[in-house]
Order: sequence, then C-alpha cells, then structure tokens
Amino acid sequence: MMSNKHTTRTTWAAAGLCLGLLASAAQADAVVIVHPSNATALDDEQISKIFLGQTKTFAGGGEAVPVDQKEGAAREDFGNKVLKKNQAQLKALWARQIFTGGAKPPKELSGDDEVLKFVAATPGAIGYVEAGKANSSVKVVKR
Amino acid sequence: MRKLPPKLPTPPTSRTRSLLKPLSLAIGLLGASGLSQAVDFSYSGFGNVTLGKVVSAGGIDIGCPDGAQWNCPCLIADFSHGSVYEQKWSLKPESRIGLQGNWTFTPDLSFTAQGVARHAAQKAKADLEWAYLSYNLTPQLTVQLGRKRLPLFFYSDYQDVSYAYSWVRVPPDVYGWAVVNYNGANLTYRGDVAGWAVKSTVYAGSEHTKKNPIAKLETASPSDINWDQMWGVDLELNRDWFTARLALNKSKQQQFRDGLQTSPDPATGTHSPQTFAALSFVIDKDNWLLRSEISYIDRSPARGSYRGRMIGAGYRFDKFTPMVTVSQLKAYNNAFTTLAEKDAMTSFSLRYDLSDTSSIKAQYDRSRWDLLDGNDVRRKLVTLSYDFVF
Repeated sequence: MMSNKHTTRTTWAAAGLCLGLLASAAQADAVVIVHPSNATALDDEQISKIFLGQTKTFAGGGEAVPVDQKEGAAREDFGNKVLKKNQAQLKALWARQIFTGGAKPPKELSGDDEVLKFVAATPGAIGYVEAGKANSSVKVVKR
Repeated sequence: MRKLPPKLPTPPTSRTRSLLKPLSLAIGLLGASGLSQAVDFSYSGFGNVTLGKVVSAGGIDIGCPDGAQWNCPCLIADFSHGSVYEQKWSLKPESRIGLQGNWTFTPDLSFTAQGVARHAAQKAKADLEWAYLSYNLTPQLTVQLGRKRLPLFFYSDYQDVSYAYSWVRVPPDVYGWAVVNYNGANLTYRGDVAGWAVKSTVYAGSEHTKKNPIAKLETASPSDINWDQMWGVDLELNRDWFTARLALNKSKQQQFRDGLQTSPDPATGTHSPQTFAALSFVIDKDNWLLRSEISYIDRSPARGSYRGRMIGAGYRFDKFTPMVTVSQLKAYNNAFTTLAEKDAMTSFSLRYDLSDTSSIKAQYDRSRWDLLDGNDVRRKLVTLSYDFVF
C-alpha cells in the first residue's frame, strides 16, 4: 500500500490502479503506543529498527517487545507512515529474514483491543492502534 | 567447454544426514530436560513456478552445458543447481518449493529446518538446505550451530526465495559457484550503532558435496567437490534507504572425479586455497531502486580467478517494478594475470505484486560469453514466474 504522498506522485503512471488503495489508506490513523512506564524518546527511525528486527532494545537499553497487528487499516497506515514501506515490501523484507535464520518478525495480535491489553501489561512492549482507541492504560509516543 | 573450469556447486548428501544426528540428539536432550512441554512449532514456506525458453542462440557451441545431456543451444540459469534452459518451454529448470519448520523451545532457543524440492539438473530431488540450532546469548548476539546456506554474496543465502527480490533469478554468471551450503557455526551481532542498523556475522565450517551439479554441466561423469577449513565474515549496514554489505570467505577446495583428485594437482597437495570477497550497495528511495555488487574471487594457483560486477536500476510504479540489470564476470587464467573470458548478461525484468504474499514476473535476458579469441556464445532467454510465500 502506498502512502498518500507516494500515491499522488505515481498516479499518472499507475493508470488508476491506486484508486482502491487511496480509499483504504485514507481511513486509518495509527498511533504508536508503549507501556506507561517507558520513558524512552522514540522517533520514526528508532521505531522502524525495532519493528524491522534490526535492534531488540530501546535507546535506553531496555529490551523492546514489538507487537504487530495481523491485518487491517492500522497496520497499513503504520507501515506507510512509520516504516515507509508497503505491505508487499515488508513481506519481501521478512521473507529474507525468516528464510535465512535472521531476525524473527514481531508477534501478531488481532486488532486494537488485543494490542492495547498486551502493551498495557508488558513493560517493554511497543505497538500501534487506531488513534481513537488509545487510552490511559498506555502511553502514546507517536501520532 | 569453457576455457576455465567453471565454478563448482553442491548437492547436500550423506553429510547432511550425518549432521542431523547431533541435532536430533540435541533436540532429544532438550525434550528430556522438560523443555519439550513448551515447544512452539510454526511453519512457513516459499516457492516459484517458473517457465522459460531460450528464444535465440548465436555464436559457437563450447560444450557447456554438455550437449550429450541437454539439447543445446542452452542457457545456464543457475550454475549451482544445474538449471539449464533449452529451446523449448520448460517449468523444470527453476521451479521449486521450500518448506521451513521452526521449533521454539524458549524465547532464546530454537531449531529451524528447511527443505527445498526442485527439478534442476534434470532430476527431481529434495535437499535439506538449512538445519540449525539458534541461541540468543544477549539481545544483540546470536549463536547458531548446524547447516546453513553460504552467504558469499548479497543474495546468496536467499536466492531460492525469489519472492524476496525483484528479478526472476539472481545474475547467474556472478552467483554461480560450486558450494552453496556449509555445516558449522556462526555468531551474529545485530544492533543499532550511531543510528545505523548493523548486522555482522562470523562463521566457520565446511561442506562436502557428491555429484556436484556444476560439474555435471561439463560432463555426466560425477564430481565430488569439498570446501574445507572455511571461515567468513560479513558486515551489513542499513540506514533508512541505504544498505551496504561487505563479505569475505576463505576456504580450501578439492575436487574428485571417478575417485581421482582432479583439483588441485595431487602433486601439489590435497587442497588449494580460495578467497571470495564482495561489496554491495542497495538503494531503495522514493520508489527508486538501485542494486549493485562487485565481487573478487581468487582461486590461484590451482584454479582460475574472477572479478564480477552487477548493477540494476528500477522504479516502483505502485505494484509494478520494472528493472534493468547488467552483470559481468571476468575470468582469468591465474592470479588475475591473463584475461580468459568475459561473461555478460543484460536483463529486463518486470515484477507485479499480485498480493502481499505473491508476485508474477516476466524477464528477458541477453547473455554473451566472449571467449576473447573472436568467438562468443550468445543466448536470449524469456522467463515467466509466479512466486509466493506462505
């Protein structure tokens, strides 16, 4: 799935193939959440490294436990905005890791509620949910 | 016949089976210690159905691949596995399927095995490509013990997983070598250093192959090829859209045909040294793709030496990724003193992402082996491929 920016830039060449993508991309607005006790400052680059299996720790040294969503608009929005990759690109990146003994992909949970519960209960957890779903049980680090 | 003994490949065999014994024992011990109650099993896989045909042929016939085994003119699409396309459509040379099982005993201890079935080298077979125990010493350090693919070049250890890259295949002349696995141990560091994602692996081991497919390209008489006392190190750096990788591998090779040592000359000893080195740059920025690699292979004095290079550029138009890629391998008779052959390929490829787990690709390759004596071997190949992961 392309980001809005990229979709706009390539629509002339994609000849209308992006119409469906535009519609679904516009529906999501994911926010990144951590456990309330986590005081680490995080930018997109650091979040990407954690979710792409390039590092297993936060900048402060604590072990990071990333949690992904199995599917849905929030997953696509997070991939586009923070990881800056569409779902096919991410799958190809993980195929290299999985089949060469590299990093293991984050645990996948079904939907915002499961992610909220997991992050609220796990000190090193980092995940993402639909913006309106975040509550006081977690800390939002990236909107 | 190519002027130089080409690069030589690997069929996993009894060595693979013998490797499984200690791994099975280790798993058995883990089970006996009570960890088996917590074993979490998962599986995944990959595959491709690839149809190809040599559509044009010119130049001379140099007998590689062997005209007694293949109906040439032909093009070798994968030296390591003996994949050869003839002038008729065929699914056999490159189609394959891989299945991987992962047993997680604790969050830090796991065992992974991967088998790949294919019909390359005119024979259906299933090989154990990977079988290793993996243990996380720290969040940054992982040690692995067992059988793995050999990471000589950027795409070497995942070249079977064609879904993971844009082409139908990696450039064959540059990537075609005799040994593609090793049995041994490795230690990998993975972490964030000054903003760079750093991954570095050191490894050591060996591989003995029977009826090596690369040697079969020259003659049906089987060759056994061994790479012993092997060690290597690689370093991969990534930041946002930029990735660089540096790799070094050293080993001692020997080759037998019909039980007789054919390389090195027995008068000089049982083994001869060889060094592989490669430097790669990958750029993936704003939908532009650039993939490049230079390689250096010194197998003197017993065998030839080589310099390889590859560069490909493409642009991602939503689900379409067209690419143009040029690769070249220069073969030298000895220690880079006399250039003997130049093998070049230009590839035009188009990938379409069918879904998040599958793609279709079309590729047109123009290959030319320049024998530097006024003769050459020219081939054009068309391939269509459906690639998937699950």
